[in-house]
Parts: sequence; C-alpha cells; structure tokens
Amino acid sequence: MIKLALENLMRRKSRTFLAMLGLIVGVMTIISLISITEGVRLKVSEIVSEVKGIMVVEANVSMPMLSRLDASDDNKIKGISGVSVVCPRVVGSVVLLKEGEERKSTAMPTTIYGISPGVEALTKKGLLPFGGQLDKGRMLTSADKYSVIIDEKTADDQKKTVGSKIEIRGEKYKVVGISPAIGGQGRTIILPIDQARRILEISSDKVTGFFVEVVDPSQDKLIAKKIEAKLGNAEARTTEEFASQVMGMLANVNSFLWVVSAIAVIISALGIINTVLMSVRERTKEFGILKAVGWSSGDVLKLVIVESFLIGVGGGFFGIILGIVLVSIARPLLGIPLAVTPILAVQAAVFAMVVGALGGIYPAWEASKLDPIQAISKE
Amino acid sequence: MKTPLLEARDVYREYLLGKTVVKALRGVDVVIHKGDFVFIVGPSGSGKSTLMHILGALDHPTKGSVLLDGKNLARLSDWQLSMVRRNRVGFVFQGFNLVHSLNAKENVMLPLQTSDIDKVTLEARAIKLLMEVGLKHRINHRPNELSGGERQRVATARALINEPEIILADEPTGELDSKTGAEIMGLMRTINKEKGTTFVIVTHDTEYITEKDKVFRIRDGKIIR
Repeated sequence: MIKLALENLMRRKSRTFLAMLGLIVGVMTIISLISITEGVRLKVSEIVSEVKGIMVVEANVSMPMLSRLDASDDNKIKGISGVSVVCPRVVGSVVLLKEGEERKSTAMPTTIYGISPGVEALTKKGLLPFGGQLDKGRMLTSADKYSVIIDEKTADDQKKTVGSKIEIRGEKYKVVGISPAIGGQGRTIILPIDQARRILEISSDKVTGFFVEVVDPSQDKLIAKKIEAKLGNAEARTTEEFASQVMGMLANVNSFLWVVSAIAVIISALGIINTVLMSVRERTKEFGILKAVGWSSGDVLKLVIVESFLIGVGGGFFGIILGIVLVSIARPLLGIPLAVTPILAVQAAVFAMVVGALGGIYPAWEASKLDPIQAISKE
Repeated sequence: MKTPLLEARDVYREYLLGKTVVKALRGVDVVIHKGDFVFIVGPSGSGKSTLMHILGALDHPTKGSVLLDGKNLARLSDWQLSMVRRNRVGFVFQGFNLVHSLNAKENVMLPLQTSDIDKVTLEARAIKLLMEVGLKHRINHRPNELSGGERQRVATARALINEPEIILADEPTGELDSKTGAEIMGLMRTINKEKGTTFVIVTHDTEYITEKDKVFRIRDGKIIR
C-alpha cells in the first residue's frame, strides 16, 4: 500500500510538491523560531554561568538606562561583608553616524557601557556583557581614556578594526578591542566610565548601577537583600534572578510560538485537504475502477490517507532540513548558539505526519464513498 | 440437474434520475451455469448494463435475489460485495477503464494490490497473463501507448488476475473495429474453452453470437424470448 501510494504521489509530482509546500514552510518556521528562543535561553544561561554576581539598579525604573544611583553608594556596598568587588556602571545609548551621514529617526541605537577598567579587572570573569572574551585586540586598562571596545556588528557597520578611530558625539576614540556580537541586540561600545558619563550626559557623581561580585556565590541572594536594605532606593538582583526573569519572558515567547505553530498546523492542514481533495476529484474514475475490481471502501480510504501521510513525511523532512539550513544561516548573524535539537526535530516530524494524515481524512472519506458505477462512467 | 453458478430471480432495479423513478429492470430471471458463454443482448437503455452490474456484485437489486453458488448477493454488505468482486468475479468494461498512470502490468495487478498475495507472485502472474493475451512486448507500456485492441487485452488480463469463476464484459467490442473486435471475442472464447471461465457478455451487437451460446434478450428491463 505504501509503495502504491508513493508511486501515485510520484506520478503527480507538481501536485504533491504543492501539497508539501505549505507544510515545509510551516515546519521550517516552527523550527527556526523555536531554535531562536532556545538559543537565547542558552546564551542567557551561558552568561549567567560565567558571570555570577548581583546587579544593583535604582528601584522602580522601567529600564536600567533610566536608573540613577549615587556613585558614593560604591563604598556602602563594599562595607557589606561577603562583597568582593563592586563595579560601577553607566549604561545608555547613542546613535552613531557614519561620516557625512544625517541623523535618521530609524537609525539603530548603539548601547554604551561605561566601566572602570581597573575595577573590572578584579572580577573573575572581566567584562560583564562579553564574559571577558574578545575576538580581537585587548581589554581596557586603567590607563585608557579615549579607548573603546566595540562589538563586531558595530565594527562591521562602521567599517572599523583594532587601531581605527571611531567618532562618538563628535569625539574620536581608538578601537582597542573587538568583542563578539551580544545576543540579538548587537551594536555595543564599552569605554571608560568617565567618558561614558560625558557622552550620556550623566553627572560625575552618578552611575546607572553597580555589578557586585561576592566571595561565596551561594550567599548572593542574602547579600542582595542586604544591599537593598542599606541603599534604600535600590533594587539588587542576582544574575540568576535576572536570568530567571528573562527565562520567564522567553517562556511567554515560547507559548506565543506554539500558538503560531497551531495556526501553521491549521493552514498546512487546509492546504493538504485542498490539494488532496482536488487530486481525489481528478481521480474519481480511477477510484471507481479500483472499487469495481474489488477494492473495498476501506482500501480506498487507506490509500488516500497513506498518500496524505506520505506528503506529511516529505513536508516534515524537507521542512526540518530547510529549518536547519535557515538556523545555520541565522546563527552567525544573530550571534547566539542556535541549534535544532533532536527533540525539536522529532516534534516537527510528528507534527508534519499528523497534519498530513489528518489532512487526508476528509478527501479519503469522499473517495471511499464513491459509487463505482457512477465513478467509472465519469469522463 | 446442474446447480447454476449465477442466478437472478425476479430482479427489479429502480433508481431516481432527478425526480423521475427509472425502472431499469422489471422482474428479470437469468440462469448461468459454470463454463457457459452467455450473451445479454438488447438495445441501448434496455437495462443490460444494469443487469450486468447486479450480476457482478457492483450493485444491489431493488427487489429480487441474485445467487452466486446459491448465496444471495442482495443480502451482502458493501465490504462483502467487494470481496466477491475481488475473489470471484472479473470485469471487462466498454471503455477499457484502465488507470492511465499505470503501465499494462500494473493495471493487471491492480485488483489484488491490497490482497495478501506477495508482490513477486502477483507480478509473475500478471506477466504470464499478459503473455497469454498476446502482449508480451507491451508489459511496461501505459494505456496511451497501446491500441484499442491492446487495451482491451490488458483489461481482459486484469479480469483474469484473480482467477475468477465468471467474467462479465460490458460491450467489450464496442470501441473496437470489427477485425479487432473479432480478435477479442476469439480471445475470450479461447479462455472460456481452456480455463473453463464462465463469460457473460453484454452487447447490442449480435454478430459474434454462435448457436452454442446462451443468449438472453432484454428490452425495457425485461427478458424476452
């Protein structure tokens, strides 16, 4: 039966391909979207596992960039037992213009991180956003003033490499290091905190937050509570808490993706019903002949469902392959560890086969109910 | 007295055509014995094809009974009727009714594709039958590559694949020229003689009938003598 169904599908290659196409696109979309959220999740866990600590920002602000804390809070945090290093941070965004370029409202902003290189060097993993790993060049040192580390997206955009000069708000900075792209956001510049304050127009006695490293990571929650109590207007979250918040958001994104997938199921199933039904109606005489020569209604039903199921198998197979290709293309562009996991591939394959078989039920039922006498007399 | 292989007793068949009730058969009695070469003859619209469908387990009578080896086909379910068609009856249709996308061998194998017979045996049987009907060199040709006579030979081989006791042929020479028609009729007579297969041939053409054949003449849904 499978061989016969396969032969039937091969004889109608273009129709079979059209029926498969909807499913291929559906499976490919599901695979790539879910891989992206899974990749972001992995990246977040990777950063969290590399950089364990506490992030301190002003309480009740919607974005870390809007947070303002006194730079002198540094000493208050240091006074808490168990704290090993306190790194003051200034975070904000600017729009970088290429030479001779006018500012556009659609321009992508670049994130500015102001850090104290001498203090950062005391932490175990170095620069927080990159986990201390650079592609080219070196880290910032306490001696650096007009030096920056840029990420590879900024380097590509601005056509800069190590040793080039980059202009930020009218001032030239020397690129000393290039880091990998960060998550999906990209376009990041790290520079000494005082320069960042000037660029972002933050007064010299303020910071947007602190990164705190602790002696014993198992005590980080307790220390975070102590920091909050001591500063009063601050919110201190461990990187794990921050990560779990991100994971929570990703779980919501995942649920949304499953809704998108459900819509893809319905669209794919409708596509299959449509093409298989057309094919059945074109083959009315053929099914009439089959029934006249001794095929039962059940045999005809099975044949059409098997054909439709095989469309599902093919759609799933090519959808997974194209999904993997798409994910491989997206991996370097997004800079996150995307991968089509075996579980995801199996889920997508099962989804495709079920949709295929379900899509064939109605056309199969119609074919099985044909009256052989009327069907064979049809021209 | 010899038990009939196939028997129609007081068979009526009515169906709706729009809002009109068409009385295709009005009390038909037919008795066919094993090895008979039977003609059902009548003009267009006389009910001969309807009778053939009922005799071949393709249709139910509205009233009356159809007995195959004494078993009433009128009481069988659709599935049981398909099993009768698969195992005991062979059909040859006027328009050949071959599947265009399949080659000659695949068309011949079609009735038993869903049976338990293994593929190799089935294929060997199909090739043997195609050779018997004189299509040794046409085994892998599709219907559109065959002449009318060759197509009807494929249809005849297909009707023989399940080694039926009875073959029902609806106007088997209807779309053939007289020479090819005579060849096909000759082929059927040879099979009848050599294999003992019973033939019921529905036609409006009486030129192929011989004195030895059993003939039922039908007009307006009734057998006339």
